[in-house]
Amino acid sequence: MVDYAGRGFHLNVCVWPDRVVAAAELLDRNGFALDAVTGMDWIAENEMEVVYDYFHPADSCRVVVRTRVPRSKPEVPTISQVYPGANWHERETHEFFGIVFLGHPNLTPLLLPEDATYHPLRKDFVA
Amino acid sequence: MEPEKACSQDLSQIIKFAKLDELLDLSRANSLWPLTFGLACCAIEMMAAGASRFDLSRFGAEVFRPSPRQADVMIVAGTINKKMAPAVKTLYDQMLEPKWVIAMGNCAISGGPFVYPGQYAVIEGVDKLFPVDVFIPGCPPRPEALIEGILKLEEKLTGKRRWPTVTPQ
Ligand code: SF4
Repeated sequence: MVDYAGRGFHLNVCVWPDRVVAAAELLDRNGFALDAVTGMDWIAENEMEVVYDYFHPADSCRVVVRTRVPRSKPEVPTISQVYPGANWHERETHEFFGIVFLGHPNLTPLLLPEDATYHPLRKDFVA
Repeated sequence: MEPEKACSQDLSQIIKFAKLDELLDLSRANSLWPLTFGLACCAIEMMAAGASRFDLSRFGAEVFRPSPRQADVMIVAGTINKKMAPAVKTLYDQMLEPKWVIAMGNCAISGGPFVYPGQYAVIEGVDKLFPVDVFIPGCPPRPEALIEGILKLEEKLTGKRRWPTVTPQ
């Protein structure tokens, strides 16, 4: 539990990469909706983080699920079969951070040009 | 006065002779039809220029055309990002000759506020895609500035200015 006024969410959960689908299913069963998926580049620790923001539309509760993967092999399973809306969020996180969502039906660039192979929000990106 | 002479004098008041080219230029300059499209915040000012307060129709340029086939001036109002560039280029190519381009705002001139080291998304100036006739600086330029830009384009077409120049107080 965290200070909502200071952080903007009620519950902060860190899980192993192979548990994100189970976490998504649990939250889905409890009536949560997906707000956003984004990434973070912890370059000093040589890790990438994936952040899932969930909210409950009726109970005013916000939950953040985080997971970390090594920078050399940034792979997490997709949650798009649980939350179809995650499809585009994961495409965006993939193109900007280079995080691969295993099992995603169509992991092509969403906002960047179709042939983009660079990941501009990585800390070591140079244009 | 002889009747013949009186007649020719009167006619000179209403009939003028000019080269066809000049007449065509004059008609083109007085009815510039812009292509209806906007790319970012500058387009809001372009819409304001077309609406009643600034009333672009006073200068004959209010007929925004939704098809590039019917438009003869492209007002590039906003940021051109790399993904949008092919679409903008296609629209330009689809416009019939003669055609002109106005780069409205700093984004269309040079990338504006989006130019920084490591910038990966924005085309730094529409003149990288096709030739531009008039540049209107500002972020965004006011509607008056767009009107002035259109008058400048008229000037480019006819070689003379149709409207008085306003000097700031
Ligand atoms: S020049 Fe300024 S106002 Fe115009 S599109 Fe760019 S950022 Fe927006």
